[in-house]
Amino acid sequence: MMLDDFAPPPQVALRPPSDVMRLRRMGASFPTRLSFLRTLMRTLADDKAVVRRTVWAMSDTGFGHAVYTLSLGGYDYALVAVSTDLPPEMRTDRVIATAWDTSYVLYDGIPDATEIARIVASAPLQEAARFTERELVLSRANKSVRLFEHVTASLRAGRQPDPKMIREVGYLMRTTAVYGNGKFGIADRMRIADRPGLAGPFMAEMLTVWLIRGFTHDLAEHVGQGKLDLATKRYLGIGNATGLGMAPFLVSHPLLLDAWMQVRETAIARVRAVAALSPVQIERIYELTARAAQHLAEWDVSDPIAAGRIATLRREWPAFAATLTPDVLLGAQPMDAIMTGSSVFSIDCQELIASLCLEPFGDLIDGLTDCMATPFEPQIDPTMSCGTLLDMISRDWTWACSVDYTGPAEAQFWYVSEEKQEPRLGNRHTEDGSERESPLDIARQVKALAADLQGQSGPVAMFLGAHPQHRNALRRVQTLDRHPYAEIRDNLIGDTCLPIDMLRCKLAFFGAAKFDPKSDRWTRITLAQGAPLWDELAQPDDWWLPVAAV
Amino acid sequence: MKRSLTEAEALLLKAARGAGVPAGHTDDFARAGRYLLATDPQAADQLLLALAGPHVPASLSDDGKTIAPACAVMAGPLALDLMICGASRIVLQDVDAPAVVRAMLALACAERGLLAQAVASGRDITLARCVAPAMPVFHGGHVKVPVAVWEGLETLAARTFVPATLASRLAGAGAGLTDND
Repeated sequence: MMLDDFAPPPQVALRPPSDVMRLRRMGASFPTRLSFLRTLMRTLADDKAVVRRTVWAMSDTGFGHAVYTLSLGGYDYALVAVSTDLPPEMRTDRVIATAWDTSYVLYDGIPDATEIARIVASAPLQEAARFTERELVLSRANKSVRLFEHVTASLRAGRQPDPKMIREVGYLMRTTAVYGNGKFGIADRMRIADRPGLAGPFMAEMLTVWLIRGFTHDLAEHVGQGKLDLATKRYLGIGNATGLGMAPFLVSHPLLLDAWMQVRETAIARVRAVAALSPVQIERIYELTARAAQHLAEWDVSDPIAAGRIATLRREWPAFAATLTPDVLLGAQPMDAIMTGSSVFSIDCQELIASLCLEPFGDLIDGLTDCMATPFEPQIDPTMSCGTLLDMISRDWTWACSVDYTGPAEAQFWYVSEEKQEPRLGNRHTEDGSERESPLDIARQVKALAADLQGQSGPVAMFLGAHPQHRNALRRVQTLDRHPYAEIRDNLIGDTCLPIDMLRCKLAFFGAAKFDPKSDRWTRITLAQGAPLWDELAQPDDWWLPVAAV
Repeated sequence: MKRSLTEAEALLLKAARGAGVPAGHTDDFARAGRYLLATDPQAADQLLLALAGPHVPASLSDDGKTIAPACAVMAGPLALDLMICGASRIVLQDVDAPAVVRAMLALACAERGLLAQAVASGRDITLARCVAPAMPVFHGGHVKVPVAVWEGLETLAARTFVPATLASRLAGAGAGLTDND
């Protein structure tokens, strides 16, 4: 076997981070076949994972607990699900909630009766309880009350639920938090980081979400004393309410962000280099284009900005579809032509096109997902000269240093709430607390660093000794030089910063769709909609932008 | 009570911010603190000593070989940076939290390729180049943190929290919307 056998596939230049890492474009992200849930489904299928329901201790009205088990990569895991009779006035998706309709633990192994009893008692308490290293993920979910009641009532009446309601909501329950990696005493990620199947980012969390989805189907069928038809079950994913808690993650994990983006952009670059398409691939592109159109038609939201963007997408999509002529698809490097041609459309349309372009090329790009996890942390190179550092800032940080951080450009501040110790975003000019600001103002920090670097020489080690306040900014500048997609290239404390853009980017990598913003700082989404059911893993992968077959 | 290393590191980061440690030094301290808890948990009380400060620029002697007094949070990163730049020996005098310095050194050896060891003499620590640093054993599981240390860290971290107000609640996630749909 020759070394040349391992030469990477050809690729064109990656889309530059100066374009890709702008909040507006990040806020237009769509799920792709590289998203974590998609990767999980393929992994489960490859491993021939089988989900078994080993405990069902539910009252007729659907309260009690259940246990599901599966084996993945040679390890056993179990979802323990607890369903609680929740008074309506206590139901809230906000992180300050203290009770939920359902609560869950993903357990490392197969729990015995004692462990199940312990988890059944503690899971409903969520943050108010402590957990052990056998708990990998902690989660909770509330019913979509209207739909859950309608589905169960319909089944009891011997009929299937109203397809219109199914299409409108798309899930029976919404998770309001999916905690992993050591929170509240559960296992640190390092416990599972080397395990086949769970090594990728957020794989344990995605597995939990997928199992919860199946539980919600089981619960509805149990309470309704009937069976949902398969098309309906597939269309019912898991809702999620995501707020600011997730937003700082992209800032505080620059190497991870860079890894995700580099994988996605490398995949796009490989696809663009494809010399010609097969008839099967052409057919697939037409099929997916039609599916995307239907997905857009089924995607209704109330937020005016989001609704406007969807309206633009719906208007532009037929125009995009019209560009997929035989001349283009049978021509040279057709995917490159499609991507290049997409620049005439809105940013949202461009990102949807990019997502579509990846879909037919699993063999070419799925292996890249192995590169989405990273064990490394950003390090400082103290030997670098001040002059070199200043050159880097001039080259990579003009977007930060050209801003006057007064007035609107510093209108917002990130902080941690006393109430729930969760991230919040305040108005600096009208709210108290900015003296306790969290250091997410990276752009402003780098500008201050650049100012103090003027006229400095010698290694940055000496500079930092005299100016320790610049250590964070200096590390960010050096990190960006080696990891060009590590930084959101926008002012995160300006009045135009919309945290929803940060949330959407991360959630798209999870595999979320049907983004339904409720403000500029929280959104509802649907996960695992259209994903294979537990016994459908033989066909794990054709559910990009699911559409209703009901 | 046992704590996960991740939640310990998260609290250490917030505590460092609450103690007034400059950004960047906060991260180095939090990572070192995590490492300390996983390798030398008996020294956990030094985490609070290290955060007592003052967190001012470390005072390096004119010949670049001595830092005195050596507040671990500020002096540790500087000393290690200088070692990586080629210094063969740095003396940290009157160190407030030697275990924190040792944890920082171990991370620098493991992650930044530094070959150096720490030799203690009274309250002083000498960092010196060596061929093969002795690395402590890293226990990856949850750690027991003394209650007094954990509560001390929480007290410092609380200095970074902002109380809710009516205005902040109305502007917060999910405000004013029903969840019973």
